[in-house]
Amino acid sequence: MAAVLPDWLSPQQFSTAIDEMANAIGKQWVIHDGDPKLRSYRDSFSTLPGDANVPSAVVAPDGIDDIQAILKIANEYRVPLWPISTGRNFAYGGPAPRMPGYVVLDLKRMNRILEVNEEYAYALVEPGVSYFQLYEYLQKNNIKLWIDPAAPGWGGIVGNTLEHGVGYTPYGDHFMMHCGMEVVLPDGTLFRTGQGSLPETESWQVFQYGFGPILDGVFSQSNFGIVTKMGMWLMPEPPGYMPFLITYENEEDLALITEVVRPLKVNMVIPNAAFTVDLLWDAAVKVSKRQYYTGKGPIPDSARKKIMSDYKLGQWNFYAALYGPPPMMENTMQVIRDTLGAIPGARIWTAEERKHDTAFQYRSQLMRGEPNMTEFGLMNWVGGGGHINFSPISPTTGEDAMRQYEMIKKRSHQYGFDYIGEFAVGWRDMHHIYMLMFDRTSDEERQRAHELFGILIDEAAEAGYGEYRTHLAFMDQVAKTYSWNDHALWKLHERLKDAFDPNGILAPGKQGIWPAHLREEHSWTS
Amino acid sequence: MDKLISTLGLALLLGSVALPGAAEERPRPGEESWQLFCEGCHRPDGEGPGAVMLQRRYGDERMAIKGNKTLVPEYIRAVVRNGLLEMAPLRPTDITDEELDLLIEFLHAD
Repeated sequence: MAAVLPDWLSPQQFSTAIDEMANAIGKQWVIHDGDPKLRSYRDSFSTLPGDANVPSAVVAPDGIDDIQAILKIANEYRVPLWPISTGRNFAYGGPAPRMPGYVVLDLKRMNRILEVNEEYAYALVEPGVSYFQLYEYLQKNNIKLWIDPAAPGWGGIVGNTLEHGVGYTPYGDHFMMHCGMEVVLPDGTLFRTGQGSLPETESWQVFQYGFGPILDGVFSQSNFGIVTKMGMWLMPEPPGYMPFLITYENEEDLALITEVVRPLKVNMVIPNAAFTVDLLWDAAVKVSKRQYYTGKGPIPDSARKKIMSDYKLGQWNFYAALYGPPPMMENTMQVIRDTLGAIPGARIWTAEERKHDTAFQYRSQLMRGEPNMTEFGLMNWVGGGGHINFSPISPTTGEDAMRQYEMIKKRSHQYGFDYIGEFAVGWRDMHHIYMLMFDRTSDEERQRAHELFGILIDEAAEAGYGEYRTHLAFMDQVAKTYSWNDHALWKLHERLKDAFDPNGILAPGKQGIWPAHLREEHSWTS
Repeated sequence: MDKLISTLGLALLLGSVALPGAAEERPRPGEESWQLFCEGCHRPDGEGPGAVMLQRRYGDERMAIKGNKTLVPEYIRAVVRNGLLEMAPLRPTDITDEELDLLIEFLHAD
């Protein structure tokens, strides 16, 4: 089957470019010409049809020289490249490119753990390093440092950090915890950020800022350069660890929980990312929906009550952990009892009391930096793996939490889907993650989910809530909502795009940032 | 000072040095591919999303993929490369064809 190509590229140009790339990096690392392995680069779980966004080819470099050679050829023929690292950005697109026919630049072969420094507690890694890989390395070498994995743990440190992913330990804001990047620009220019630009430095991974403008953020959630190395701070293993769960009986408790969490987080009484998790999110890693309800539409309240009773869960389930010397943890736990534990109906559970609880166990692992795949078991709720995440940001207030919850739940039920969600408080902000799960074998249901997602974006924006990250299919729509002063920020992104990537070869359309030659067709800024 | 060190868990850190980077052994042995890509979902104790789903559909006897010789190599290759339901495909950069053969040998070993 002939590959779908971008309409500005002739089959002859494409073929010549691919041949030249194969000559440059080795033909065994170039996949094209209808090779069935191209199918492993599709997004298996989205609201789009099964074969949407399949790339025309894949090139897999192993180092800077390879990348620079590929970029040179791509610039000559204007081949659009879509960089991925571990390719596990599922719910947001996985390894698939923004548009069908792009050439995926697969960085997975670059998976070296270049340095782990136990004294200063950091690692320097390439983009292909996964959370599982770094964790295994630390374990095998008896290094007393914790990673902060995403859930599930098959993702990668660099990719997740560049996508502004969050984790579960006190180092849960991944971008905040990165320190130093090496970047290749679309024209092949290689540079390092921060202290990394000082040739004799030994401070690249201990000081984030260097001298002059801080450019690191420009290369996150963008299409301005390819990050080839990144430093990541790791948490020293503490002398004590105390995870806990507090269950709450009523939906409306979310307001008070959130109000109480805010000062506990802003004052750093709770050191890690604090999660208030909806009943079904916790239940879905243990049971399938059909075990409780075989009808159509969202699961009824009577079944929810039965799940709560069977698994001793709350309508809301609050997870956090304490770290440090035991006397410090005990003192802080008393503060937790006096605050979150004092909300009527609250019940505090210890690790010992939930030692056979799958949900508690995987969160307990995540909060101490142990990667696992348990959360992916959520997919078994409906089966088939169809899911897409809606993730708006708000201040940490009870009013905002309830407003978002009621708004999304109402729409979700109206469209026939369960509300499955959680609220994560990092420091001052709140990430609301709504997992829209659907049966991918039903085209009607998949399209219904797609329509719902689009409505949620616009309704949330009208209420002042913007998404922090989104699926490929909705990048333009979300970008349009960040419209203050006549889309001034996206106009600036476009100016940067033109400066860094004048031929528009790198990830066109990523985050709604289009290069000049595609702007007339796609952009809304002029 | 000793008490401070033991209380804060710093003893190991004070004596540590920077470690050189790790170059992974390739082709990757089957057991390591198992740990990196399979075990998280297909835990032999029946935990993990893959094992749970297989148990629900096919019962206890077919919930494990490790040691399950009814899963023939051609079937494993097809599922690994194409994915199946909740399982995402593994790309040739995740695991090469040669490494996939080593993984299959490991899965079939007693």
